[in-house]
Amino acid sequence: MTESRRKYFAVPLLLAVTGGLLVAIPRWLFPTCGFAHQSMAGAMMRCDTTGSITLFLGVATLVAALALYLLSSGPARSGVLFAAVAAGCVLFPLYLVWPGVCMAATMPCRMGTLPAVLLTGGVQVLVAVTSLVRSRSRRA
Amino acid sequence: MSERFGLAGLAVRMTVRAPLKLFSMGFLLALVSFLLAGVVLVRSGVEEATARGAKRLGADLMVVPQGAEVPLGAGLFGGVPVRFSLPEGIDRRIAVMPGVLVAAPQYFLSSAPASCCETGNLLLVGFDPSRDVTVLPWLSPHVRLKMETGSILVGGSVMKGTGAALRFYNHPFTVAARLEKTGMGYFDNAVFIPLDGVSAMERSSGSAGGVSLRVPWGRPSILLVRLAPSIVPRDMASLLERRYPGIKVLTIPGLFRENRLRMEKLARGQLPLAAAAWLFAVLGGGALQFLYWRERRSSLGLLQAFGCGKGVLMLLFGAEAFVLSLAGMVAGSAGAFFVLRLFASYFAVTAGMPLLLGGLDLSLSGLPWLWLVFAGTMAVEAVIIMFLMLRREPADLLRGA
Repeated sequence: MTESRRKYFAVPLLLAVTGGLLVAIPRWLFPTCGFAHQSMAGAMMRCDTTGSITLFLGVATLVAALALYLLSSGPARSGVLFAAVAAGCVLFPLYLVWPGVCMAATMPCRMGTLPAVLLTGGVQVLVAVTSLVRSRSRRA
Repeated sequence: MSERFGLAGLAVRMTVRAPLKLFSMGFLLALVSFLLAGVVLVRSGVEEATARGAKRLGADLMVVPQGAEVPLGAGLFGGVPVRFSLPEGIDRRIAVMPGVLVAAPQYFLSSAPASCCETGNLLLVGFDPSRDVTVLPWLSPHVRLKMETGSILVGGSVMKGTGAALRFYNHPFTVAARLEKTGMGYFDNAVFIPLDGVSAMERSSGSAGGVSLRVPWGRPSILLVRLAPSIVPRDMASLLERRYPGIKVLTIPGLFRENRLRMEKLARGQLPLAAAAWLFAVLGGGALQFLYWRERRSSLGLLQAFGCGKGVLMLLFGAEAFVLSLAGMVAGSAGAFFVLRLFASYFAVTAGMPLLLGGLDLSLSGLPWLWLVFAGTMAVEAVIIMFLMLRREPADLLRGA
């Protein structure tokens, strides 16, 4: 693998990991209340709505990672990185403001999903912003 | 970065433009620091939460049903809804015993599991405001005046502010105050409802096809007992257990005994762990630095050819290793703090131990010495490696042979 190829491989790989985690956390790793207590059938819980949106954001991040791997440097690559930053940033209001998670601190969504997703989202934003800054400084 | 050409500037450029060294050194130390700081933070967090929780309970004894110690731990430390009941009339009998100042009953209830989990699966604690020693003494007089039927208090981790409306078993309540965080699930995750409110909630439950609530009146879940100053809590605990079968009386230190034992174990393991981490950092950091400089010995030859003395080079790269290691250690410790803070509730519920982390400055206050020891070791290693490398002539180094 050439040096430039290696450079283009690291960021997509890291974003693929965060995207994969965003897909896996609300469903399997730290499931939201609805997935944790399958018996609680009925209306959609607010944390399940949040979890479902997280899942879509995770898929979007995976697509962004694939696009980054295929794209060479340029405005399109920056655009994809911006999209990855946006996907990571959206997680914070999504979990902390609206739709949010359950009120009780002992609920699975508050106890596990929220911290795990915020941590993953933070890492995703950090990776994408670092890559953006580096690509801009390289171009300058 | 300075645009002026000079030895220091060149050294800084060499460092910044060597991401492999920057990341591998920083990451190694961050990893070690993350592990060590995690252990230190858990220990100090559990100790702080235990001390604050014991103080907040405000009682000398806790009377619980026999065999309820395990669910009690989940409820008390994790704040998980638990239900158990004492034998009938025990609160009245203990309240009139000589030496007992207050016997405050509390009823542990659970909110109905709701399809919308907004108010589902919460620990509800019914308490008698006239005999309470646990919740009301910690409120400001302003809040106490407002405590009326329909008013409730929520723990510091319940996501509802003062004045917010909550509905349990078809009964509307208003949050009168939110308690300060203690790290103990019982205080942080629970909703405290005066007994009048529990009674109203029981009446309104079951209406409109809702889940009905049955409160075992006269059979509270726990009884918090405050004794006269002359009474020895342990003696009174033995007396109560002898006199009233079917109950277990825990002194407050006894209640936290399990946690203390675990903390002692953790404290005993802290030194060997720190020694192992130090050894790992010494070997790993030494290998990384040696391999890095072995590959880039021509840079050292170049610096020497520019007139940079051996002492200056050793000082320069020793200082560089010190700063890199220190930054890694600080980053790792801060990372451990933020991860633990995020997962504090998860830890409390799954480990059944209270955990309270203060501010970043307070929580990490015991660690700077550790950071300095590790960073100092890395710097000494860098100096030794430089010394070994610089024994060769600049020309040899430049040839890279």
